[in-house]
Amino acid sequence: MSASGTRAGRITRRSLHYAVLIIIAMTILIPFLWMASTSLKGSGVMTEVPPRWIPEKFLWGNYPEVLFEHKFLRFAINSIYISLTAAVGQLFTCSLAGFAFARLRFPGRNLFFSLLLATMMIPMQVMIIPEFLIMLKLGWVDHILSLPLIIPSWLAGAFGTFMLRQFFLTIPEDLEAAARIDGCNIFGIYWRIFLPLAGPALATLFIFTTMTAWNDLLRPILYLSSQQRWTLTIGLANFTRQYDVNENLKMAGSLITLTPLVVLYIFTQKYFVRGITLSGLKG
Amino acid sequence: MRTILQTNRFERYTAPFLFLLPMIAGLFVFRLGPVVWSFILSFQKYNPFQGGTWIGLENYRELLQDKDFIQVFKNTVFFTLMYMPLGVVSSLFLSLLVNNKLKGITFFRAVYFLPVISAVAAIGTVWAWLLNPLYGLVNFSLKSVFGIIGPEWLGSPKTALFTLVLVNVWHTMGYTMVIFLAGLQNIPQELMEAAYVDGAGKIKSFFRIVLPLLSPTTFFVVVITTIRSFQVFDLIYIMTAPAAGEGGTVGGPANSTNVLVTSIFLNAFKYYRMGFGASQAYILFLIVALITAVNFRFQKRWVYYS
Repeated sequence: MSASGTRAGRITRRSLHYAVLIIIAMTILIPFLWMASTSLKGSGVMTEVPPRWIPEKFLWGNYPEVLFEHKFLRFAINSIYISLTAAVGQLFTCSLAGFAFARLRFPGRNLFFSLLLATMMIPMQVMIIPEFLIMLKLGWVDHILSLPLIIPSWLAGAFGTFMLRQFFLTIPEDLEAAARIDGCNIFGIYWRIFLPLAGPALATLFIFTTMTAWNDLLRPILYLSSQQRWTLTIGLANFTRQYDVNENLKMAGSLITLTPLVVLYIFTQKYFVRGITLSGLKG
Repeated sequence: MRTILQTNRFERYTAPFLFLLPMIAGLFVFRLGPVVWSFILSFQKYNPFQGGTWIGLENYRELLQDKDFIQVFKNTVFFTLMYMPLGVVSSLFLSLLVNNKLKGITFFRAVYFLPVISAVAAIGTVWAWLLNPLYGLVNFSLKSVFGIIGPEWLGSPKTALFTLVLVNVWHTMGYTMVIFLAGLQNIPQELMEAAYVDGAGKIKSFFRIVLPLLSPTTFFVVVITTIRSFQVFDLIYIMTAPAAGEGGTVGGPANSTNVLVTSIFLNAFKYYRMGFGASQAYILFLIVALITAVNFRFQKRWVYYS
């Protein structure tokens, strides 16, 4: 038997495996830890050599300063409003359309479905200039309810429709037949049978849409001009462009931008992973 | 396809469209309409405040001659040629590393996926700080551990674009890792065991068995990473302007990180040359369509489907 097959060999290989796993985990985590560490330092020690991992003094006051004076609390509220509204609306429209594509026969079904799939393949940059002009003509740029970030998400959720259609295709027919006997019309079948069964698929879509809206940068740049309507991403982008802002405050702002989603990720990991991998289909 | 018995005229001809109404309206207004309008815009000189005039192929002719755009195109191709192989190889490596049942492996998978869900605005900001040439943690570590004076990273036109490639690999490798992982888990365990019985070592069986069987996944990953690298924007928007200081534009220093989508953005929304921007968007559209078509054509030759 070769040396690598012995017990000692196995243990060595396993330790090596863990060592590599840990090194890579460190390269992932160090930027986040450095962000947290810097965010608690005073602005005077940004240039100190050698840099310290544990701040000499913990300046918790950096956070209230960023939240209130630099308005990140306002941005956070805007981000929450936009991503939740976009996600909830998308659950309705996508499940309605997904249900029709999966379970109903009607003239033009294949045509409409092909159009839907085609739009998923087209890069959004091809559509963004006319989309901006449409928003301009509607008078929605800098809209008080930030409609340009919400309405397209409600009405043009091609990926969500596709995903829910695939899910609805798997629901057995017997359930519909039973509901028919109980006197349900097709809206009843959608509402009382299909929607409740789609829990996990809806959760995946909800998380995915929330994440996309939360992290979106381009649309907030285009459509939110007044500071009071900024989301965290655009707020942070503009914050980092100010000359007189130090790294400690930028890091506090970054951490505020990240934390809500990271917390959500810790608790609902599998929905995040599923939604993001499935969305890869749309290219 | 299984369908519900639609019992009356209303359920056959009206109800389906009620279900679809919001989606179809949105599809036409926010997707298909803009695709067509964008095409028309690309033949116009268009300013949102003055309106447009028809100039035929002038925008496209200008693209071919414009020195800045040639630079933009080179930058985009460079980014893709660097990012695609680095991204694919690193995430394949990660997926092999976590494709087992070691204790705590789900924790490592979760950590590797963390950058994927993180806002680019935030991770771009922290990487710009880590890579600060004078006070950043990276250059400090290079100096104290290896005694090397680190590069200027985003500060120099020579290194800025490659720096963005590296940060983008860091940001996205967890995503491609998950796709590779799904592919790996589809490989039948018996095949691996058979290879061991035949005396093939780990490396040999990787190249002879795993890699060929993984080729459909690899194909998918290559297509998707290539398409995405042509569309990179957020990271460049976040990381390049602040490094250039106040008044610095996206795509700096010296236009060295200006790629296709940042150029579309700058032309359309900063200089209000929307027709010119639309023509660049259609170049992007053409490239994405070509990659998809070419890859689908060649996939039959080198991809193994069981």
